[in-house]
Amino acid sequence: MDPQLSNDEQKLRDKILQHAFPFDEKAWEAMQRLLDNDRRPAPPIPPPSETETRPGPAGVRKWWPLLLLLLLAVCILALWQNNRRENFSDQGATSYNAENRHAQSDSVRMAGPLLAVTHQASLENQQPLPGKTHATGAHEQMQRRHNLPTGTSRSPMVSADYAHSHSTAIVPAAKGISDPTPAFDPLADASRVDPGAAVPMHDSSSLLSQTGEPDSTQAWIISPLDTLPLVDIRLAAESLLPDSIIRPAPLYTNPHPGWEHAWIFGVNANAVDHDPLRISVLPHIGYLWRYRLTPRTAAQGEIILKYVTGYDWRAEFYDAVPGGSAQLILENNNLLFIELPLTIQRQVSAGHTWMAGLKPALVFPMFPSGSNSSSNFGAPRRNYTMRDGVRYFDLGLVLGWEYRFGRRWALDVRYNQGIFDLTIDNFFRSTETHLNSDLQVSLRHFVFKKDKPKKK
Amino acid sequence: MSHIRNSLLPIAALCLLASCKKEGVFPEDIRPADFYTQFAIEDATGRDTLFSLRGEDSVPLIPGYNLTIEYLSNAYVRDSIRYIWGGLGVSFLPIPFFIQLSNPQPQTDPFVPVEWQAEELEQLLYPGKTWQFGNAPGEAVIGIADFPDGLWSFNSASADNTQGYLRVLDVSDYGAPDLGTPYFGKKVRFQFACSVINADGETWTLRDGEAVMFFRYYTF
Repeated sequence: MDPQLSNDEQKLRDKILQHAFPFDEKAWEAMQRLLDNDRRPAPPIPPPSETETRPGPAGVRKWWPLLLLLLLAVCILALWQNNRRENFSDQGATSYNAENRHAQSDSVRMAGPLLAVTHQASLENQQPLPGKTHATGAHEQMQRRHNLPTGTSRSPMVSADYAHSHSTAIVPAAKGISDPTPAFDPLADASRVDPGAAVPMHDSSSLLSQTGEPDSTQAWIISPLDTLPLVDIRLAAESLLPDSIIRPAPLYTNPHPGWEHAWIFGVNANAVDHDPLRISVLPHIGYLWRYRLTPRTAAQGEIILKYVTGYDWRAEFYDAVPGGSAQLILENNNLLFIELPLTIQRQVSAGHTWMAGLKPALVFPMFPSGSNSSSNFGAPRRNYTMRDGVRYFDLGLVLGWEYRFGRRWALDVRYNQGIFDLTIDNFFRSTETHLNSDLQVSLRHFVFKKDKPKKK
Repeated sequence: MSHIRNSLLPIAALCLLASCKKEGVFPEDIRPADFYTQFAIEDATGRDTLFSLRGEDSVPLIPGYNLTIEYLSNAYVRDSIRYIWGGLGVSFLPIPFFIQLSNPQPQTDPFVPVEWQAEELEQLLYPGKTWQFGNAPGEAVIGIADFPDGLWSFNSASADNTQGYLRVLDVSDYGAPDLGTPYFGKKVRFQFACSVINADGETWTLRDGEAVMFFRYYTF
């Protein structure tokens, strides 16, 4: 009983609790019939007001998907733009020569998408990249199209009517070449080009070029189909034959010709003894300088600090004369190598490079131990150190392979074969041969100048 | 390309030049084990006994203490005759084996140092040189003794050695002056056979003898 209720309230409460409503079964049946007969559709939800804005987080959250899509689109556009510029650099760095003409068909097939990108970029770029590619920008192409009849420019001219009468996307043309053969050499035939003459069109699947100077070797006809979708041009490029004058897509070359620098982080497995075979596996660090002689050939110098342990060398000297004796024991287990490999590298396919060269190295015994004892004053004195018994200069041969799997990163696997015995035999009184031969696996992180912050 | 080639060639040449470093010059250990003697002793009863001794051999002196055989050499003058001897043993104890040589030229100048010079040894010790046994100038003496107790000792000085011989087989320099060793001289290999006699007149015969001894000299 609630103590806060009065007697009347309590009586009223009890009365209400004891009240029972009358039950009518017909009322339930009537209600059931009413529900079964009511089949009207649900009333529509009123549409939100289009102009109504709601302040607060809920309004911002509404735009998140759109912002994310926009950001994704910007990223894709930036990546595509960067890729397009690198392709331009590759084309500019690769000169057309006989070697490229005899490239494999795989490389030719790579030319399809590359050509499409190049052409698309030329339409979009208002400022062509000077000295990088012959695929000039849309501004220059439009200027050619408008100046076709004049013939005053150094660029090869074609008949505007002829151009408009053919549905060809991008076709290099030269006078008198009605049926270009696969051996067509634009460099050799450049002198035969008549800038003012109308040039017959060729099959779009046989003539497309990526490299070379347009003003001296190529004639570019810009038709109204220049604005065709990208997919059409790509399909046309993919059907190119390898024996045409199509210049194969260049191999993946470094977009930064000249000097390159990289840090080296790796692991080396040194054979510290061969009978029985004992291997020492330890990390090494270094730095490399690479000078690209050609797009596919480079000279590389490195400096590598390598620490090897487990040699277990021991040299003992004992001298005894009448009246005295002396004993000198020297032990060494560790060597520090400062290696200076000099290699020539040759890129054989996209990202894959073979290398060979010489490896001079400086050798330093580290943390030698031992003892020097003598009895009597007349004992001989040998002031030797472990440094006296170890060859301080070593020379080896290098054979390796490098895989450039990113703009900044490369994987290097190489085998170093030492040439000279590291130990002096009459010091250790042993004819065992100890060579600085090892297998090295390392990552190379390339550092570019533009990565460094500018000094104010 | 040419400038790269021009820079690589000197580097490669320098590398090859430096890599052709000669082996280090490290003198051999000066070890008493380089000196030894071995011969057969036929005593008065006709019994043969092999006598062998080498430097660094360990000989028990008293229980728990061993002596290590050293190579010994010394020079002295007596009766105007210059002597030099080389042997195996321990200082201040009876010499178990020694070979003593004398200079055929008498020494009359008292201011001439006792020590021998290299040239003097080279005049006396050369391969094929044969010595007569005796105490006269230009003769040799072989002596043996019990070691370390000194119970007996024999030498060839007074024995009849008309059938004996002492022949030099090899001679080489020994010692490492650059190590500061106080002794350096000639390492000589002998072949010998002789009779030795003790104070009691007992005679033994040494046969098939071979010895490598050290004869020191000074360069100052």
